Amino acid sequence: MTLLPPGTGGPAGNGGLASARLSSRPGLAVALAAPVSLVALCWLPRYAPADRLALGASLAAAMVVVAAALGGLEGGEPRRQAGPGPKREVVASRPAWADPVALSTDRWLALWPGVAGAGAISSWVARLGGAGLLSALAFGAAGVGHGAAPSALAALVVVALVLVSVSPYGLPLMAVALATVAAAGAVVTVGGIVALCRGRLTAALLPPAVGGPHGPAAIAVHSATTVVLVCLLAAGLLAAGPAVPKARGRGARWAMSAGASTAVACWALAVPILVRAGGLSSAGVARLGGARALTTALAAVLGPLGGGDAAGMAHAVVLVTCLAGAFGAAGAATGVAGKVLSDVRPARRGRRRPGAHDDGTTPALLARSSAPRHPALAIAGATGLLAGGVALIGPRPWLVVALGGLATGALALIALAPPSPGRRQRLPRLLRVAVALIWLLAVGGALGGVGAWALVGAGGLAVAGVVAVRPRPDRAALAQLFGPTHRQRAAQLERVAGTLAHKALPGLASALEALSAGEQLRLPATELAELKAAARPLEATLAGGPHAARQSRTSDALVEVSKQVARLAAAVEAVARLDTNRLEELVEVRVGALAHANRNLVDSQWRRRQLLDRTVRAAEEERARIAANLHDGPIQRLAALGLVLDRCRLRMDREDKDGARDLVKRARTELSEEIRSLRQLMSELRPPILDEGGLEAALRDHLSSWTSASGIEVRFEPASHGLLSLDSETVVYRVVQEALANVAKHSRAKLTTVTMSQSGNGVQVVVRDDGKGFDAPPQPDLLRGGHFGLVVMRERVELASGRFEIHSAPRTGTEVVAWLPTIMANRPVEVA
Amino acid sequence: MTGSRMPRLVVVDDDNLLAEELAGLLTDVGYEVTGVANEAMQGIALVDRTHPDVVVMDVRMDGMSGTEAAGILQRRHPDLPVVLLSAYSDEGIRQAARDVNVAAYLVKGCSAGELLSTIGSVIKQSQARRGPP
Repeated sequence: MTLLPPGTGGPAGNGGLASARLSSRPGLAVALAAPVSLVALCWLPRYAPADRLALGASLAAAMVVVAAALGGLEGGEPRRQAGPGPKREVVASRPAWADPVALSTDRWLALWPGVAGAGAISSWVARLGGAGLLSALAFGAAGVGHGAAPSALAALVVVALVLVSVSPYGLPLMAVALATVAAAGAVVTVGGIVALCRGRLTAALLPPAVGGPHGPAAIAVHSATTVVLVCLLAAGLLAAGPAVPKARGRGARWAMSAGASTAVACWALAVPILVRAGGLSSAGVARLGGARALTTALAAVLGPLGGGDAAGMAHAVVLVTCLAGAFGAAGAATGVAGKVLSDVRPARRGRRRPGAHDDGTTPALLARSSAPRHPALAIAGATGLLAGGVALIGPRPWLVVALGGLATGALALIALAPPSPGRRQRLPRLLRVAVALIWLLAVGGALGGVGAWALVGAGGLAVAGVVAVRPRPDRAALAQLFGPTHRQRAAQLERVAGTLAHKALPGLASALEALSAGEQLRLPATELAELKAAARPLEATLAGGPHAARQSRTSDALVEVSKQVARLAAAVEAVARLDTNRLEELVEVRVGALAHANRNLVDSQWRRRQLLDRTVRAAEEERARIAANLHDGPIQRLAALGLVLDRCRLRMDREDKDGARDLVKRARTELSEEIRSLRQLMSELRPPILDEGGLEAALRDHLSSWTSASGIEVRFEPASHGLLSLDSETVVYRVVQEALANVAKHSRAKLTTVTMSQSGNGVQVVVRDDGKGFDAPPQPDLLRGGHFGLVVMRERVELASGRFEIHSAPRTGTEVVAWLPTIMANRPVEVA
Repeated sequence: MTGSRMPRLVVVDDDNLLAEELAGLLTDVGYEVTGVANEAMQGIALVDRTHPDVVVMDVRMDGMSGTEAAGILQRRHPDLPVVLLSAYSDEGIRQAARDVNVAAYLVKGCSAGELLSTIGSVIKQSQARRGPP
């Protein structure tokens, strides 16, 4: 390995760059392919796999055109060996691709498909389809087939970077990529330090002002260079955090911004350090460009490892670094801008999209749907246009590389941006054809270079992807229904199935069971609402979705199940409403019955009050009668007897013994009469025979006196019956007494029959006469009809837990029936 | 009233037995019972007809009560003393009797001595009010 002398400009001069001119065919292709492809991408609201394949193909075409432009810059002219500095020897064995500026067109062609393939691989890794994998394999194979191992290596690293830049799946992938890049940086650092320590790196690499080859300054410079490189990569990774979930919050955004700022600062520091380390002057850097300066510096660092290929390795590292920075910056800028705009716009709108949650969209899907799309598209479009313009103008190649990387990263970011639900999923057919035609045009433009077979293969794959790899309608429909990823679809399907199986259907079954059992309905309102929420997107898609007619049997079945369950739920609700109506009718009936009962209660209270008044009055009358009897009877007679005794004493004083004897005899007669009167009064108050002789004897006694007094014949027909309580016997006695009094007073009967017999668990007493009878009112109206005696009888009977009836009609006589429970029947039932 | 003529009385009571015993007692002690009535109106007519010196009358009777009859007699014969004889000892009835200026109020069951003493006292008071002829 021949080490570069101090002050050299690098492995190759760039005089060709300065004097290069753009070939017409690639320039035209770039001018057409890059912007149109980007514009076409801007029209992609959602991305089907075939569209992503077309995207990757178009992207590859754009990059091919860029490379073709470079090739046009370089390929048309012989390489210059002279640099801006002093002439030096150039290692003859160094491969041509080791010089990034001097790379031939076919090498670029082999390199850039690898880069594009990396984007496709990242797409695939991001679970967005298998077409990306096909594309990546094809382009990677094309690159390897050209012996472009660095391109494959670059592709792998770019995969990691793109993943980190655009993946929406968070920190784990970022950590993997970071570890990959950090490991690469560590290798570089260790190699450089080892080289320095072994002294195999000549001091000629270092500027004279820095010091000797083994001095601490050299070690510090190299270490600083390495650290800066690693920091650059890390900063780029950090800055490439647009995919950091929004849920990570403000801290994540601050980290991204800080990463982007750090990247810029590191670049600003790295360039002069590398310039110094590479022994280049600022003027040389200005002439050679940053890419060559970096290559030179890294070639010095990697000298101990690369030997003769140190410059080639340095080239690869530079390329990777450029790409990393480009991707990182693109990702960071796009992500930050997108997040800022997406944060601002919803705030301005002040509302979320209508029906976002109502159609069953999961919150995660919603969060992803707010990912930066239009700002990213705009930035990507601007970057693509800038890249095309730069390619047309012919600037430094590293700038073209950086801008190409920006475009690639931006486009990959767009490609990986989560689709927005509710939008069209497919690129319009005409637009897809246009993209394919543009790609073919670009390929045709690039065919003037080399590597035609690789381009043809890639193009064929792309066309095949566009034409043959059609998106499956069922998958599209499922993606639209349940989310773009398998996991989301599985979660949504599980949710729907879980709702159906564990909530909605059991709830419906319970509701139906409750209805069939006539119980109070327990409508599973929550479950039904959840079921409807889960089924609504299915129904909406079925109603208006473009893929409704082509859905697979699975989605058809799901939609049908949802419809049927929703129909069942509606039926249950209808039945519930019917049941509610029935319940309302029942309530009305109950209210009517309650009102009727209330009226009866009021009437009953009125009757009871009347009866109470009557009872009180009757009691007073009874007391008055008894008082009158006492006044007219015993008191008068006793007073008279007193006078008789006084007269007797007077006559005895006069020795009128005969007169006195007459008075004593008279007094004795009056006294006997008074005793009889008092006994009758006592009998009226409480017939003693009722207590001494029992009910039948008392009735016989009363009937005897009654028939004597009334002159109406009476028959008493007692039958065997159970034992009545003393209270019930009194009630029977009073009822018969009152009934007979009514017969004597009103009936004009000739014959009255009193029967007493066992009836069920009680004794039934009937007093029947053959009198004139009367229109007996219904029992509740007895009081209104002035039949106080009958009411008193009924109340007495009912208070004794008995039943009272009266049957009468004009000219048919009257029948009074009283039933009273026997002692056994009246005994309270013991409840176990 | 002359010293030779025995005082004349009218007995009014709806209880026959008591009226007869009362009349017999008064007769036994020397009074002249000019008549016995069982109703108040009959008693008033008897007084109008016989002009007794004292009327012994029950309070509670069918038809007109003794108190009312005493009021009527007071208006028609202001100097005629009326002795009410009642089974009630209520103060209210006594007050009603005082309101019609009865000469005395006796409760049935009193002794014959109390009755005769009261009647004798009433007669003396009546004679004193009338003064010597």
